[in-house]
Amino acid sequence: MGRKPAAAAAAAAAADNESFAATMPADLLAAADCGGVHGHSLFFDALVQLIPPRFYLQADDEDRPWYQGLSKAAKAAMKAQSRANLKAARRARLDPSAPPSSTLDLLKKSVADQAAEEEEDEKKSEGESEKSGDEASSGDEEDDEIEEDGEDEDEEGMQVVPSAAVSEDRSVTYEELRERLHRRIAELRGNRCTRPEFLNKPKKEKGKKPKGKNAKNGKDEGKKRKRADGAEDDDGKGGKKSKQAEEKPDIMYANVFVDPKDARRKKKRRIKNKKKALEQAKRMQEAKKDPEKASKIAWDTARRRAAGEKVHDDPKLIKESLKKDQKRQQKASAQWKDRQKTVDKQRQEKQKTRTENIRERAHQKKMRKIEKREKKLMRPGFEGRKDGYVNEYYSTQAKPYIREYKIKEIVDPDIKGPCCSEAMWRVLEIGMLFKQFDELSIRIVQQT
Amino acid sequence: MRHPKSGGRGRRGRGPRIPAAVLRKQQAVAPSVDQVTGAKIPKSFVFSRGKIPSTLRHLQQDLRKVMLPYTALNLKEKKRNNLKDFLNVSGPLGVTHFMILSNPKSLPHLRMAKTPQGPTYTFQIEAYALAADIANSQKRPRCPPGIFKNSPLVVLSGFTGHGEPFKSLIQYFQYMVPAIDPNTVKLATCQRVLLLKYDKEKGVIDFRHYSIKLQPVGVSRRIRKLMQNNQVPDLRDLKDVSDYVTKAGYGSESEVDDEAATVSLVSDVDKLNRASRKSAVRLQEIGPRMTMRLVKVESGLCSGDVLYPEPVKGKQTDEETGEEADESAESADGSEDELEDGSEDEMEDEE
Repeated sequence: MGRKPAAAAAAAAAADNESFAATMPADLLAAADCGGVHGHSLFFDALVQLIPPRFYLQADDEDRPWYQGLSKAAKAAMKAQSRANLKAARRARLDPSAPPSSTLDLLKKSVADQAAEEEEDEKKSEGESEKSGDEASSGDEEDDEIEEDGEDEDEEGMQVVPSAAVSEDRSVTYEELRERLHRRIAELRGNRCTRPEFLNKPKKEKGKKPKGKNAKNGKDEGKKRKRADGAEDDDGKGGKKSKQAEEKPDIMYANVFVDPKDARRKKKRRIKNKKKALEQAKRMQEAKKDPEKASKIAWDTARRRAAGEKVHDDPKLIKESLKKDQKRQQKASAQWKDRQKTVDKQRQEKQKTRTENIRERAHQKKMRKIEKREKKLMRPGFEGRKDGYVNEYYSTQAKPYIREYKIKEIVDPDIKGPCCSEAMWRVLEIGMLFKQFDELSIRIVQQT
Repeated sequence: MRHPKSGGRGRRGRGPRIPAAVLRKQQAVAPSVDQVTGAKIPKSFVFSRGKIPSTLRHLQQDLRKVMLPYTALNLKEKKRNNLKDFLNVSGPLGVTHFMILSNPKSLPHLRMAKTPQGPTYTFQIEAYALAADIANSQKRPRCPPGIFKNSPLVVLSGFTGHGEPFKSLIQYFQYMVPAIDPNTVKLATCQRVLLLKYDKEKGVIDFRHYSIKLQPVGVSRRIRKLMQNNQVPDLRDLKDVSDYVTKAGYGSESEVDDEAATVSLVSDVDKLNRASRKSAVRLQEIGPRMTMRLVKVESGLCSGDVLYPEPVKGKQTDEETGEEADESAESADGSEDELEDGSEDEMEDEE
C-alpha cells in the first residue's frame, strides 16, 4: 500500500479507476500549487500519501483485541473475527483487479463506510432501545473512535475494511436479542401473580389506594386466570386435545405448575399471626352453627385440604400452638438470663485473677529490687542494714546467750568458716564495756 | 510402600468406610420439595387395616407400585399399629396421603385420606383386577425397567359439573402426584398414566393404570425394529439393502391410528421419537384395574363430620345434630372393623 516503487505501476493501473484514484504524492504536490483551500488540501493529501496506512489510520483498537477478560465463547468469536479480517485484508491487498489502495483511498473508503454504518446503526438502535448490550457497547466503541480521531481534520473513526461482514454478524445477533427479549417479557408476565385475592392485603397506613387498584384489576385478572387455566390443562406432551371448552373441561389433568408466587401463597405453612388466626377460627366455628352455611364451609375446607393447603380452623389446636410458643419464649428467656449470669461470673473471675497477677507482679518487682539492694550489704558477718547500735542488740537479744556462754547462737550464720571464739569474746567484751560506759555516763550526769 | 486405597481418600478421619451400595442408597432419599417447581412433593402410604384376604394384599402391593416413587414400597405394618401411629410417623417423613384398604363384611373398601387433618373419601371396591392378571391376559405384557422411577400423570374424566363431593375429589386426585410444569418437563419422564373416569349413570369410578409408549409415525416397522434392537438384520436373500428398507411390510392393525392419537413432540424423547416429529401415543395397561363407588366423605382423617352422603335433615335441629353427632361419634374411631359395618349398614339403609 503506497509502496513507492510500485506506485508507478499502481498509478497506471489506477488511471482506469473511477473515484478512488491512487494518485502519487508528487502529482498531488504539483497540483497543490494552485492556491486556496483546495491547494492546501491537496498538499496535505500528498503528505498523507507518504505515510503507510498502518501508522496513519487508527486500527489498533480493533486489531488488537483484548482477550483476557472475555468468556470462552467470546474469545473464540474474536479470534475467528480477527482471522477473517486478516484473510480479507490479504486478499484485498493481493487482488490484481481491485485498485491498490493508498492511504488516502483507504481513508476515504473508511469515511464512506463509517457513514453507511452509522445509518444502519441508527435504524437498529430504534428497534433495540431497550437492549443496552451489544449495541450500546458498539455505539460506544464507535463514539470513542470518533472522539479519538476527532482531532485530525476531516477524519472520523476508522473501521477496518471488512466492517461490512462484522455488521452483518451483528445484525444476526440483534434479531436474536430481540427474540430473547420478547421471550423474557412473556416469562416475566407469566410469573406475575394475577389473582387479586392472593395479593398482599394493603397495610392500614398505606390507605385505600391499593384496594382500589385491586378491585379494578380483579375482573381482568379473573378472566386472564381462566384463560391460563384452560392453557394449564394441556398435557405435558404438548397440545393433545387442547381445543377444549375453556370453562370446565371435561378431561382434567393433574396439578400443573403455573405460578410460583401463587403456589407459595396458597400453601403457606406457618400462620403469621396466631392470635388473628385464633379469632378467625372462632368466628368460623360460630358460623358453622348455622346449618345452611355449615355444609358449605365444611366442603370448602375439605376441598382446600385436599388441594394441599393447610386450613387452620380448629381453635383448640391454635391455642395449643400459642401456648407452645409462649413456653418456648419463656424457656428461651430463662436460658438467656442463665447465660448472661455465667458470662458475668466468668468475666469477674478473670478480672480477679488478672488483678491478682498484676499485684503479685508489682510486689515481686519491689522485692527483687530490695533484694538486689540488700545483696550488697548482706556480706557474711554482717547483718545488712544498720538497724540500730550493736549495743542494743547485745543488751536486748544477745545478753541471755552471753550469760550462758552460748556464742555460737549469736554468730551470723553467713560466716561459713570456723570462727575464732577468742576473737568473738574480745568483741563482746568491748561492746559491753561501751554499754556500761554509757550507763555510767548517764548516772554521772544525773548526779551532777 | 503402601498407598492408601482410593476409597479412603475422601473420608480422612471420618470414621469407617461405608460401602458404595449403602452410600448410594443414602443419597437416593426422595426429596421433600421438588427442585424444579418448588412445591411440596406429596408422598403416600398404602396400607391395610384389619384382616384382608391374599388377593387384597396383592392389590395393596399393586397400589403401592402405582404410587411409586413417592411411597413406601416395603412398608411393614403390625396388627397393634393404630392409625395414630401412622399419623405420628407421617409428620416427620412428609407423607401427605394415606390409602387404606380394608375388608369389612367381606366387601373391600379403599379409603383415601389426606394427612394430617384432611378429608377422607371412602370407596367401596365393586370389582378389581390385579396387575398380574392383566399381564397374563396380554399377549405382550410390557414393563420397561424405568417406568416406576417417575410419578404417573393423572387424568380425570367426567368429574366436572357434579358439584360436591366431586369437586373436592378432583382436587384430591390432582394433588396426589407432584406438580409438573409443561414447559420444562422432560417428556421421557412421563411414562405412566393413571386414569380415573366417573360414570354418571352407574355412579362408579373406573381406575386404570397405563404405560405410555411413543411410536414414530411414518416409520416402517422394519426400520423401527432395526433402530430399537440395534442388531444387524438378516440380508442373506436380498441383493441390496434398499430392498430391506423399502419392502412393504404388513401394517399391524393397531398401526391404523386416528389423527387424535398422534402428537407432534416438543423435544426429543429418545432416539426414535425426535422433536417436531409426529409420534403415536400407545397406552398399554399395567397395574391394577378397579371399579369403585364413593360411599362416604368425612371431613377429618377417618373422623369428623360426615359430609357425604348428606345427612338427613330432621324436623328439629336437635334431632339433626343428634344424628350428626351419632354418625361422627361412630366414624371417629376409624380403625375398627365393626364400626365400618355399622356405618355401612347406615349408608345402605339411607340408600
